[in-house]
Amino acid sequence: MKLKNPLVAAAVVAICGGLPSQSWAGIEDKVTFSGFGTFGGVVTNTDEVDFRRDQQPDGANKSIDTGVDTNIGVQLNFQANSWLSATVQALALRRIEHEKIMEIEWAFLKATPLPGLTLRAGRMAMPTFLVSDSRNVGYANTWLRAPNEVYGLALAPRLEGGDVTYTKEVGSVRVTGTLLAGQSEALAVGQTFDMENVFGGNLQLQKGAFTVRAGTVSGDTVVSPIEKDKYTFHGIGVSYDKGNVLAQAEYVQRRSEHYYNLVAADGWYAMGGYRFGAFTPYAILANTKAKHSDSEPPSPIPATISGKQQSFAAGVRWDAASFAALKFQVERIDADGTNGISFTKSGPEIVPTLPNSMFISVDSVNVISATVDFVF
Amino acid sequence: MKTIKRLALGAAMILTFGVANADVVVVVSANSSASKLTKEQVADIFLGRSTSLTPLDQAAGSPVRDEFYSKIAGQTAAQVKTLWAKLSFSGKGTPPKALGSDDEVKAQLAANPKAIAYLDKSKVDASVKTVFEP
Repeated sequence: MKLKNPLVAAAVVAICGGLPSQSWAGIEDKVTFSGFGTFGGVVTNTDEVDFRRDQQPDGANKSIDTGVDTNIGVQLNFQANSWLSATVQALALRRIEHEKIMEIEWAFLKATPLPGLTLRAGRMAMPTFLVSDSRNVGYANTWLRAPNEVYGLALAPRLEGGDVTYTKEVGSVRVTGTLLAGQSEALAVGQTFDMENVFGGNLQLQKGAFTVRAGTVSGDTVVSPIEKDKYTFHGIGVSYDKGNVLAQAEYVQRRSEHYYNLVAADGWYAMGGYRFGAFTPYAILANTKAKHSDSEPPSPIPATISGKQQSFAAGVRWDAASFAALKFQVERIDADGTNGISFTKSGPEIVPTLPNSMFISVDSVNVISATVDFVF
Repeated sequence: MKTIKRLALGAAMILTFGVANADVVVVVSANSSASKLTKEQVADIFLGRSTSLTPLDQAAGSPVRDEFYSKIAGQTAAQVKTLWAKLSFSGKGTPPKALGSDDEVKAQLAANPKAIAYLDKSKVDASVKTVFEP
């Protein structure tokens, strides 16, 4: 585990060691230990490519793969007093490189000095989407997995720094604004790059069953000691959840200043579901495409991080027990002969030092997935 | 399929039974300064949107708990649990403490004037005051 930010280290020390001035009496009332996990299996109708999520280096083909969706997370929350708390979350899942499985996903101190005002410092999720914080918590979501066409586009999933959030009721609308600053890491072309000067903002409006969100994040990717590239990610989303009906849609844009033709892509999805008691069937239509500009200088790498892809998924969530949900999902994915976004190929590199996901050609693939999501 | 049907029938019977018998009211300590609340305010407190009072839950699976969340927010136990998974695993809050009995609820209310809970109407006594009746 890498804790390069002193704030992150401080949060870990605070929660693991107990604040020095704290007496241990009554500590069990202040500490909450909880966890979540998913066990899943995925199979497709082809051996030509592997189906994956995010930037995993391999995935499912005609042989069932249990590594795509399977994860386990544990979280410790230390409530020091009425306005100060510390949270540490460790999460194990298949990541960009095989050797990095378990990481400290979050470690932050949170203060609520005034009603409605929250300050956080440490390592936390980058708020890029409607479901940024709990996207890895299968139990907290209706879908089996977040659509890759949108959620797979973000290259900087974590923030090391701080954020300020203010919530206010304006009439019957709950307005929440967040500003963030710090540093991050960008995961792209099979490598990890430092990202500096990360700034962002989020605005969320909630009225009754409706939530609308808009957000933007930008940062300077350190491509080499002498070169920085501006990365930006914009997103808007809307969700509706009332009675038995739930619906959600998002649209995002990924951009780069100097590597537009390598990086730039748009993505969207629309999802709808209906609760029949413990069963919630749902469907998701999702789409992404790489953007191309002739006015940009030719990319040094004649390929795109992600290509064109459209998918239609139908699934069901079954709240089988009070601590677990079972999910089943079938989907048809069409990448139109490009590299898509949900695919890679394990084995020898097609182009040395670059991931195979950039150089494969995919047409139509059918995918079947099943998971058990639990919390404890 | 037969098992599922039987389970569904059982659930439906429990639900009907629960609705018929649990008349739930929202209460605070008799010494609390809290006054009448609206349904929205109660829902905000118990669903993690407001921290003005500290909510206390009844035991998971108890009819009074299911009745409370159904009346206050139109949500099932599974929906409430999913919501808390979302909030707690984003560091936005921790679910209300679940207590085993009505007496425990009353004892906790007496000990904490900022606490708020719900009881079957028949269990209300002089130690508590009703702030909302659905």
